[in-house]
Amino acid sequence: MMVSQYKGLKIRACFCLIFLPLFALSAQDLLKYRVFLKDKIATGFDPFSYFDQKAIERRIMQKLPLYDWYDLPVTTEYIDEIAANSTIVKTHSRWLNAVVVMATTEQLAVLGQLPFVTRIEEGKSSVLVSSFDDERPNPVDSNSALSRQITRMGSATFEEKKLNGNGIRIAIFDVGFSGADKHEAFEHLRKANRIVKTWDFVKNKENVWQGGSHGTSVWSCIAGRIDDQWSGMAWDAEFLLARTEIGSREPFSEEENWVAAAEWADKNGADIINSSLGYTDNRYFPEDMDGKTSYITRGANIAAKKGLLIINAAGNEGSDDSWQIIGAPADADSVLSIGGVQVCCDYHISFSSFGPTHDLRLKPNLCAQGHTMCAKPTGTGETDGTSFSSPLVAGFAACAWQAKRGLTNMELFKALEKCGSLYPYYDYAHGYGIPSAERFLDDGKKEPEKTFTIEMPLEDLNFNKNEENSYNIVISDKYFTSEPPDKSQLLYYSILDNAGKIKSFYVIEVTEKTPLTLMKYEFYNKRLRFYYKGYMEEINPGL
Amino acid sequence: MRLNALLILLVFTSLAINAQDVVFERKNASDTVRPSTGPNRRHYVYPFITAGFIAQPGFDGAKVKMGHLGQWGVGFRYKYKLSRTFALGFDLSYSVSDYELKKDASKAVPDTILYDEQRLIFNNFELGVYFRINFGRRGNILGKYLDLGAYADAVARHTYFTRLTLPENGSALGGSVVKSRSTESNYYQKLNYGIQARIGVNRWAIYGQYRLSDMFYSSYNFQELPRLTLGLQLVLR
Repeated sequence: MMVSQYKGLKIRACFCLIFLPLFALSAQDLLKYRVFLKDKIATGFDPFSYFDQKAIERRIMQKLPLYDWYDLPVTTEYIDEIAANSTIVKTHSRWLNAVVVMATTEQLAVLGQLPFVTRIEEGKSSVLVSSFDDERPNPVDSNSALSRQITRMGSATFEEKKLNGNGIRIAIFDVGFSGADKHEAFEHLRKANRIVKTWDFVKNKENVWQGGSHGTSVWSCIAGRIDDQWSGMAWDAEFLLARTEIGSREPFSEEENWVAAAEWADKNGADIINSSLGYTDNRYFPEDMDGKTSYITRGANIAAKKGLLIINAAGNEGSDDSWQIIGAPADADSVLSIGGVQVCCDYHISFSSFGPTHDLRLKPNLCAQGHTMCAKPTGTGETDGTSFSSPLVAGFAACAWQAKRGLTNMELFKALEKCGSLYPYYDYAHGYGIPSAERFLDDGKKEPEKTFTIEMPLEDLNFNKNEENSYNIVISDKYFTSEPPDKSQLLYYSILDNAGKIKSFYVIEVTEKTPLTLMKYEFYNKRLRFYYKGYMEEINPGL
Repeated sequence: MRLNALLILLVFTSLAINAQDVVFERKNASDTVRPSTGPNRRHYVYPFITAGFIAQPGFDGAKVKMGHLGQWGVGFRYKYKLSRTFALGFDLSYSVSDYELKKDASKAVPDTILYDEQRLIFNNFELGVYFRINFGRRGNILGKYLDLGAYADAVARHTYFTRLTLPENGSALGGSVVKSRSTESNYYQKLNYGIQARIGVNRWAIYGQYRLSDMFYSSYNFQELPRLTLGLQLVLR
């Protein structure tokens, strides 16, 4: 046989196949860990020197203590001891009382024995693929997108009352704001010195005008001016701009950056945080979207305790079968999560992520246009994504808070939900709908008119499979036009179980006076909820 | 016809809905029980495709051309998660190994004729087993992993393909191209086996296979074909 020549090669090849990968993995020895600490040793913390004046004012206005345990610094002695027992101390968080370190498994064992350490979570620093994909082709008339993105929320009403975010400080967390420092869409903000502070939490420097243009587009949906129109409603607000995202990669450190940025925003007097980002299956399971598991979600909930209104994009996974639901931190109960709707009509845009949370809380809370005209590094352009729905609502929220400055952040949260175009109806695609300035200022005083009736041709309670044993939804004459077709004539309805949990939900375009007939026998042991143009009615077909 | 379409729609949506222009509908998951299938769940089955190349030049008698697609395949893989770090599983695939022999004076497999193109093609059904080591914390994704395992190929068909351009010698056939495919050979083993390894990151993996068995019956005294194949695998979902 002539195969003997292969013997040496055979051994070498086996060696390479088996051991080379292991060599490649040796770098894994040094892993990232979040070390959570038991307590803080008080050291004469002075809130007046630590916080910006605006942060003090926010606390006073919302009747919050000037500082609390969360604001105290991480105990220096603890950091020093952790540093002595790890390779690198990356960062630390006051709010979560945690120190992020790079350590070997041997060091990890020592860290776990330290008396002031309560638990250690494994972090991660590997490369993952971005979970947000905002650039999707969508042939929509750009003028239509721009003109509708704020007017459909009632921007004219706020404008009339000179509500434009003045006096409200908004922090934006994003991947970077490339080109925004020179972009004409933000010239009015630069002239009025409305950019209070910037910080790049990825590179630890002030310059945020690089890294990516996603933040530029997001910012323009809060306060930009495009083609002589406002592209966002809070064009007179103040801004804190933070880079927390690394870019197309999504290492876990982004969540640490986010929490650090939230502490920074709190310290520097932010009222609102807009964060158009989210983390899904690269790091988590759907059951982790329970409002308490992810690091970023826990940070967001603490930020809300400080009186900040946190607004976050629901996510763009709606048409991704492997996930579909909201990402973190949009799962936090104190985060106002924003879904996306079509330009033409007030219903779900295909990519917008769905709720509820894993523990069945309502998400998203509200929605806004999901296809927008916004600023690009040079010029302007259209783009898709709940990343841009979120800042549209952030701009709205700034104007709303300016109007009712006495509200606490969570009172404002509830008021914003209440001014949703669908309120009190909600579902897991639209939340309470698109916020409305009229509704917000009206304070829900306007009694809704009955816009439809539910008729039952045959009063048969036996649930016979009889076509006549049905519910007909009949639209009132005043609220129905057949010509020309009116895209705003939408009937929303949900099917709920007896415990009140939504099982399925629908939107129907109303093109005739009786747009919906439901067979009663289909809904045995269920409840039905209908909404049309401001009026909601619920029926229980029977047990 | 229209009625049929409506009936189909009714069945499909499981709802008795008449006269509707449904522009949006959504059904929620019926419960919150954790599923047992998924990329980082207890069970996971996923399809993959493979493209590789022969990673050794071969020796006198059976030197092969390098750098062209020497192996491709399609199959599915089952993964059983043992813990956050360990898993094991198997895969079934159909693959084609294509050894393009060099036009080299030493060529002796399966004959000594020097063609312009000469390829030994093996169509295989392959069974692989593997033990997986995962690295790092991850969500419901495959993440980073190292697979170590073995495989066995059942050769379903073997083709010896040749192409020869006849010399321009004035004859009627001069300059013409003669292609032949011989599938009736019996010099090759019907079953092969070897070891394999993969390093993967989510949908992508680099793999290597090393054949331990001999490709040809010893009685033919053929030089062995290269044993090492390297390539890429792509998970299709």
